[in-house]
Amino acid sequence: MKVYVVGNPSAASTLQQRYRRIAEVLTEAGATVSSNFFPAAAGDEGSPLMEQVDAVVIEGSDPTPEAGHLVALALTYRKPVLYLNERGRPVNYHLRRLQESKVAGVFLRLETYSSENLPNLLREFLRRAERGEGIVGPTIKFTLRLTPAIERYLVYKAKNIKKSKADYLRELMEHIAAEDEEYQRLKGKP
Amino acid sequence: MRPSARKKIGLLYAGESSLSASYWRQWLSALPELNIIADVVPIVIDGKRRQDYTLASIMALAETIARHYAAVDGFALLYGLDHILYASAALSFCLTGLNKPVLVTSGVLQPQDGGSGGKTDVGLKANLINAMQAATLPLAEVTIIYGNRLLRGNAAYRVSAADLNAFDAPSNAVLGRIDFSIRLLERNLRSSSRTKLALASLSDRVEYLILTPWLTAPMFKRRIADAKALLVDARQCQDLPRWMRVYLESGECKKPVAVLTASPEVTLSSRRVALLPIGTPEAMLAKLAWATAMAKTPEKITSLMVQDIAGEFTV
Repeated sequence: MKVYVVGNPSAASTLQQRYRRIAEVLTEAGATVSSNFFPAAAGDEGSPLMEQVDAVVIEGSDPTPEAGHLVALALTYRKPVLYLNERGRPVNYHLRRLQESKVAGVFLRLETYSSENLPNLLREFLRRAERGEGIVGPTIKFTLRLTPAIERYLVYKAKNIKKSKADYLRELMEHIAAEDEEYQRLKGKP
Repeated sequence: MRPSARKKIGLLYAGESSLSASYWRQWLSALPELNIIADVVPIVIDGKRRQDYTLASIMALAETIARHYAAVDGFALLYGLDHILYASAALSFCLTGLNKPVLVTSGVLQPQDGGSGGKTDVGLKANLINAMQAATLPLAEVTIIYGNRLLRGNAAYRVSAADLNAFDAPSNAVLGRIDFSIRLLERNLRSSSRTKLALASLSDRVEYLILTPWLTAPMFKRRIADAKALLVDARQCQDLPRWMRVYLESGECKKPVAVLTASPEVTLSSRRVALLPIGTPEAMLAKLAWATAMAKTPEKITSLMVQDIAGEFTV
């Protein structure tokens, strides 16, 4: 899962440390993290970068001026967004309103955190995002070249189980991932 | 996100005339995401004045921007894709002394969306959100924002009908790129104007001709007779036809003619002719319309045509 982490590059050093901690926790939980405080990752020029990530985490205690734009853009691409506020900091009024809205509220989670509950909040968000909660359908394009034999089998199988070839492959991958104990451990599941 | 940093952005809809002001407001209310970027001020141009993307509709747009100029910090504008180059170029000449960002992006609201921003095309929403954000930035010119690019409105050109990045511009007219956020290329930005905003007119009596083998001298003379000024697009030609050179040099032609050509072989000494080695046809046509409305003599018009007025000669 690709997660984009947003912090304020001009925030105080304690917050900068917090951003790095967020990236660490997400990486330890198996996510591939990119961020506005790491060197920019090269993306596919032909599609928006926001389309190429699976979820967005914003540390908004001292928000970057771009935070609102990134929330709006992530919601447009129907990406789950976790907006984190350090406990005791005021929560933005417009974000609260947005979370209450029918469409945007499905994807946006506003959370206040302390250093104790931060790792759990992040892991829980990652689990929900991975389960696709709030996501209507698969969004990542993937090109796969097959041998004629595999293609023949895929056509045969899809016809027999009355599903599309893509649905069959997606379900197969979900099953393999669920059975992969090492991967499940990495994600932080028991 | 801080209350003190919130800006007011005028969001203009200048698309299909069949959509009403109430529809536009309803559509925007289904996009609450816009309000976390800035305070949205929805503005609709009267349907009768935005019909078919005509010159009159562009003038209505310029007048609307001028009317709301003092009340907002910037403008984001939704316009038809096929006409966006003409509109943005024309606005860049009409709005002299512009000191605030005017972001033009494209997308057509479909009545069948039923006023629900949530169901609308993702590309249109992303363009609109990017335009809103860019309208909060320190830009002082008319800019096209589309896909991953932020381009000078009067130097941009169309590269594709359907790609994410349908427009491009010479390297110094690329004002920013969108990765996740919008990254401005500071060195390419125009500095703020010290004058107040003024609204200039555009003449509706300029003609545009592409130089092809089918163009004859009588046809050329007929077209110029009906117009106040003429733009000849000769970018595909090494030289002008002999009859055209003779006509333009002899003094027989009393009207101003601008020739778009990068060929060093095209040389004309008449002061009523402006040779334009740089510039897009859309921008040069808009500029000719502006110069024709501004100046009284053909010589003054051609002299304005060769000056860089609003960054249109950026390479």
